Amino acid sequence: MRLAQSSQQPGAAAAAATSDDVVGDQGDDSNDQPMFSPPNRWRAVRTSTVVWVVALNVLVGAAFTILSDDGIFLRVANLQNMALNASTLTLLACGTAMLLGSGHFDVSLGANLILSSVVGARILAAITGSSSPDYSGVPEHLAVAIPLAICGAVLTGATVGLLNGVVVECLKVNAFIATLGMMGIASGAAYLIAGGTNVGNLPRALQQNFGIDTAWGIPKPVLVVAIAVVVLWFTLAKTRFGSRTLAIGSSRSAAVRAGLPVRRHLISLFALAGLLAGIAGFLDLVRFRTTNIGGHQTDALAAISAAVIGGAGLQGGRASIIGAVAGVALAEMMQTGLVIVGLSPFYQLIAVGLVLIVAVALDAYRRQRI
Amino acid sequence: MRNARGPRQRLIKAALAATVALTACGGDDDSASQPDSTTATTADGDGPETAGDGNSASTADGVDSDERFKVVAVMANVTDPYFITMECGAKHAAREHNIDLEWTGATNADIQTQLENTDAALLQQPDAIIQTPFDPNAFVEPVRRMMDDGVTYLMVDGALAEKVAWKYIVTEHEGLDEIVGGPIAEAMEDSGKIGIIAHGPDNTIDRIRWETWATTFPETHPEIAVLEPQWTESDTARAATAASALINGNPDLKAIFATNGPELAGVASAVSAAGKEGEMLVFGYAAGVPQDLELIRSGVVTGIWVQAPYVEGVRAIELLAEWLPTRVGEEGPVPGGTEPYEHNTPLFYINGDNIDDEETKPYYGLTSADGPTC
Repeated sequence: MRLAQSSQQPGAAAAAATSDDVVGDQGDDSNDQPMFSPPNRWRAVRTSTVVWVVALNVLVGAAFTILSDDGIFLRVANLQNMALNASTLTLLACGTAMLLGSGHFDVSLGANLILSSVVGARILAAITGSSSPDYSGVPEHLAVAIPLAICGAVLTGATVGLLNGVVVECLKVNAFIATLGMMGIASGAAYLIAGGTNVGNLPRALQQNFGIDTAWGIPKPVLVVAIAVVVLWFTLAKTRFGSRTLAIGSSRSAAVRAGLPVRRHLISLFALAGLLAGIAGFLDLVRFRTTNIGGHQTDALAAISAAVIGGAGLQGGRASIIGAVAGVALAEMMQTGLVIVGLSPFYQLIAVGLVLIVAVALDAYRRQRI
Repeated sequence: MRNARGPRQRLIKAALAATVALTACGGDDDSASQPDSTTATTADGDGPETAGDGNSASTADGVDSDERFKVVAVMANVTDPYFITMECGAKHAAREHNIDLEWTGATNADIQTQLENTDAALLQQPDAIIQTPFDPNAFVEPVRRMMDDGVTYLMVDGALAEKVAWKYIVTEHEGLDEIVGGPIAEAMEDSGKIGIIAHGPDNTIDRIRWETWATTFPETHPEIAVLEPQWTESDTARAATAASALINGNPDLKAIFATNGPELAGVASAVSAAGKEGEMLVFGYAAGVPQDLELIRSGVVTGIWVQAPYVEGVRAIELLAEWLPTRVGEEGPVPGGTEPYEHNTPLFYINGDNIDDEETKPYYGLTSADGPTC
């Protein structure tokens, strides 16, 4: 795989990453710094959005640790739970960060997640026999069912994403409208395939041995997400695919003039985001042993806000996988921490909203000062 | 406070009556395994109330009518196993009476959507509307108007601020502090902390499920501390997040109460993930679908309260089948609050002790991973 630094195409180079965290548009790090000046590591750290968001996370974490009884917030059990709770949203946020980097977004990710989980659940139920009301919980043919269910969920997610990309790029429908339409289609399809209600009572072994199980103290779904995050980070920060993503988001016309396969690239990005939603759908399924048709209504918006907090620009050209993870972590810490310290649920909503706005406003202010 | 034994004994009697009735019927239809509508009791507690038997719509005094009637059920949360089971009951009964039933509604509980769907249903000029209104105030005026226009409005398990509906079929709701609170307090041995995972503060139906007992606990069970509810809007993932935060934030937490099936699934997952299966008491309202039952059998969930939506569906159609023939030729307003206004259906508690009892089986939800099983 060719690395970003080896790209010689001028359009791509103009927007290529100079940092390993928030990448693209060089504006994140410095507007007055020459593009190819020798790296100033301290300045890069000081001006990095990711560093600021991580620092904010540390501050929030410290505050909750102090405010909670006996520092419960920082206990391993709570960290495990927060990581598990944030796992599916992390995948969606990473996919969203990639899309935002290219100047697009996908509001159908939550519905895609649901549809993918329904397809996976249907396959699992059909093969293991758990669809029977008399299902005793002893799985049959589980070894066959699991890979097929994974394939079903992931392929469904990728297909929905691919269709989004085709509608946006080939039919020239605005991404918001296209994915809004797809949100309805995917939701409706999920209800139809599920028979109008949640597909539940799936093999308990899936939940016990994977969905809520841990390996080396880390929830297994979190390990899957961690691998995906590393791959996505490498892809965005170190490969030509990543630099092209940001180049297109930075200036589509420049990317076209540079001869980049813009249309194909964007379609593949939508498919990638959909694929991540498919993985998230399967993780959701094995965690709860049931689909969650009524849930995930605001997941796409939560993913967008996490990606933006993490340094992605709504206008494209800037994105960070690590930043998106930090954005999700901030939201998760707020959600869990406020319950732990016993703040009223109504104040929780206000507090979470305030922190999200303050996080982005501080970043914008800092950027203006640079 | 009402004696807890009264309603419980009535429920047991009702369930036994259902079993006898089912045995007598023989059951040539899957849906026949549900509690029989004859077990429904009037609000004044006069015991079992019988209703139409017919293959045709009949008036209360037995005058048959060949007229077919159009009834539209405008629901919300139509994917909820509770409403699916109610739909099964209503459709089963509609087949036996001269009623063309259309079951429609939204997949969410948005009030505006439900009002819009009601307006759309009225364009079909139905003889009656069946509905579970999801707001006590927003539906009052629309209901008053449709009743003035001669359309009968039958409310099922909802709540309206004024007595404007023709009649009201509702799950047993008096004495919930004991019916629901009693088993909770008993399992908690009258002490400890309990957390609540609920849909949202604006959902009145959901609110009744926890508020009734939670507000009386400080007096009736002062050693039990009830934590403020966490709102998760029937999102299993959010319920799991809230439940795990409650578990971690309150090391002395003894029990969690979930107000809905999706919330219960999230709580169960969080409890399992925390390694507290069998240690943490988990209660909830649920539809009694296979996964709910399996969670009880495996010891993750302590007990669930199930309603009798199938009975409610049957009862709604039976009441209308009696009433609508009397309205033939009538163009005046339908009287609101017709007595007996309230018709109660049972609320049943399922736990590890009675889950496989014959009297419990009629309360199982009629959905599985294959969808509706009626």
